[in-house]
Amino acid sequence: MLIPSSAAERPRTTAPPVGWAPLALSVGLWSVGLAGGVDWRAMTDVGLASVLPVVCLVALGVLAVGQAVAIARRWTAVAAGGVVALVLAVHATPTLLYGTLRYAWAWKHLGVVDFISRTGTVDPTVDALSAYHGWPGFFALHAMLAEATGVDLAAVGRWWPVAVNLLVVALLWRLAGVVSTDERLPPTACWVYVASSWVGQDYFSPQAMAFVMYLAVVLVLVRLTGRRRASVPGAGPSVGAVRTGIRAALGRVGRVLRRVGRPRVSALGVVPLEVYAMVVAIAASHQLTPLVVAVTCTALVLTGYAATGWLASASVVAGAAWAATFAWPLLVDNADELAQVGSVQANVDGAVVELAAGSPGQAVVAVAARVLTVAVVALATAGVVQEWRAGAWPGLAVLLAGSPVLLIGMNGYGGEVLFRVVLFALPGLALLAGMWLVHRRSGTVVGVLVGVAGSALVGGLLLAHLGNERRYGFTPEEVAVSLALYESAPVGSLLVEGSRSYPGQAVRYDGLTYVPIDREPVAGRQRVLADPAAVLGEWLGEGDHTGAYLLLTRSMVAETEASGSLPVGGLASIDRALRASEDFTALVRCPDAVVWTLSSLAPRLPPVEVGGC
Amino acid sequence: MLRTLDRRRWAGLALLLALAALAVTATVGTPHVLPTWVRLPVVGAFVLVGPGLATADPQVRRLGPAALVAVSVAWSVLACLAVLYAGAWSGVDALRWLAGGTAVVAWVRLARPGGQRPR
Repeated sequence: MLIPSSAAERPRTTAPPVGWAPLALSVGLWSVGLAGGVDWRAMTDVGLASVLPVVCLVALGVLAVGQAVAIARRWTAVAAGGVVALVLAVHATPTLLYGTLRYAWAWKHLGVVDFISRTGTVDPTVDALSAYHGWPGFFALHAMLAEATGVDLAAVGRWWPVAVNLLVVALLWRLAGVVSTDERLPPTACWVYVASSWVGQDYFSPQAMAFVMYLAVVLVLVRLTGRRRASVPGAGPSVGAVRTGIRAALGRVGRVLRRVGRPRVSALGVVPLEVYAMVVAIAASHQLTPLVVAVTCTALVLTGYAATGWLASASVVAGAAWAATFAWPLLVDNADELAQVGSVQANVDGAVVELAAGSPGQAVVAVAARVLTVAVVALATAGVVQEWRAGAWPGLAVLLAGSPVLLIGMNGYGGEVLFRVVLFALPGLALLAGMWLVHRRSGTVVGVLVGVAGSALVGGLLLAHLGNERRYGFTPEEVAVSLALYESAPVGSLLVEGSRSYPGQAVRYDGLTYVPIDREPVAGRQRVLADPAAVLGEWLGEGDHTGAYLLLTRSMVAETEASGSLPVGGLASIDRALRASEDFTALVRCPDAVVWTLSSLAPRLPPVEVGGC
Repeated sequence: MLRTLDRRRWAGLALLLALAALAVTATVGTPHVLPTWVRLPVVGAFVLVGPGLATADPQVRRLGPAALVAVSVAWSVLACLAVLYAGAWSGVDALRWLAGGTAVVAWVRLARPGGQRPR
């Protein structure tokens, strides 16, 4: 199943002690940089890179150079250490700096876990975050962990990006070993993957868990059940080979169809039971990943990289069956999204960020993400061409990179489909890019290429992945105020939010009605800004709510200014206006968060108690 | 050689059963027998590797710890969902069912002569 490589016969070498020096130096420099103190709250709109000490940037440079040397010299252990070091630098640094769980959606996921622990059930008809109640696997698992251990999941969730990326890298390393005998490919592909993984779906989320399982499914299938080699020397996609391949694929489809209705228990034994367990766990935990699993498994079966037709059937049936049973109320409510199947333009339109709408810094971040993606695709394309011309068609890697693209035609996924395509395609792209960088090249050339490409990718990653940290990172005060509000607000209360970017909905989230100002129609936002006290007085005073609150936080300010949904200073002007109004009372005010309510309501609302504010 | 294999298999089984028992112990008592800083790593370690070690084919295990973790987490998810949809959710009960199921499967698979799952 391996690409024969000119490097195949060269033994792996052990790095001398001096070979570890760049890695050790980069880790030391990075640690010194962080220990010296980083005022992350002073971040600008280009994110963490704006406040990182120069010594940290030097550390990254040393790491990139050291990694290039290690790969060129075939010092596999050092190269593996370099990949781990990059994962820690990119994903552990925010955790260490903020001291809190990063990213608003991670807090919402805690809220769903809290719902299960409080009520002992899920409710797909609940008003907010209903989708998670239809696919509760991830949340049930963490509810078990929280109840059995008493742990604060927010503390555990902080380390999810590190854990998930290490797992992904470990799986990708093994996959690289399947597609090539060149021992330089695994560390190179993993380095490219980490350095270009800007999408950021590795936080405390069902997607992260499902993504790891998806890669594990692919690895188990191709490693243990595949009938054909991961790349086929001399069998590039010539016209004759394509024709032969199509005939063979149609033959397999026919055999699969003929088996439907005549189940054979022995067929299940061909694919390890663990694969089916993961396929079902994915189907029960995430909406989109089952589609990717189904497409990929079907493609693997049709192309011979996985063994049995039952696998393709099972992967499709598992996802469809779960959606049609436990998630049926959500499918009915979102039937209009199903109408987008096949509409590529509609699915893409909602996913592309309008560069002109946000701040200049955010435009730079968005451009960096696009450039990073284009760069990886370009490297991968070069890898495909190189392998094809050498007579070794990298079929498996092309399949892994290409099959997620079909998602675009299936669903817009709330405007996120392009991000998910990049997420699922990236392992395949990294393999192909790695092939271009190392296959059939001398050590010196590999060192130069990996050094240049790796440095460029890491530089782009700092902007693309860590460029939104001003709104993704939360201060302890924001967390404390938000949690205190949710814990004290009576069920049936109205909560007006500056935006959704804050550590919210983490406890008792189902008892509130939410109105984010930045998601109101433009006319509504303009009304609020023109006369905050009067308009917000209307909003908080109307309706039969048991309580009414307005929450403003530092991260909301960052979010609205970065996205352009409100003008710079918009939320601050609202806060000033309410301070000057006798109709509003601040229930609690901390440096980074304030909770307002109507003065007429304040006496009968429970206190929002936050220590130190 | 055979005796060595049997010893290794029995040692593995004993370790797995001990891990499952420890995970269940973590849920016992009010206040709990074990402090939180012990319960989390014990239960976490069990969830991350226990079900996988009990069920995974040796060839799957040889694919590395990441694959084993993915398999373990998958079985843990399925066990939790079974308890959730059975209508009497309790995280503690879910862990006990998972530990019990893991122990039973491990015993059946590893204690069987040859230690192989029937195909």
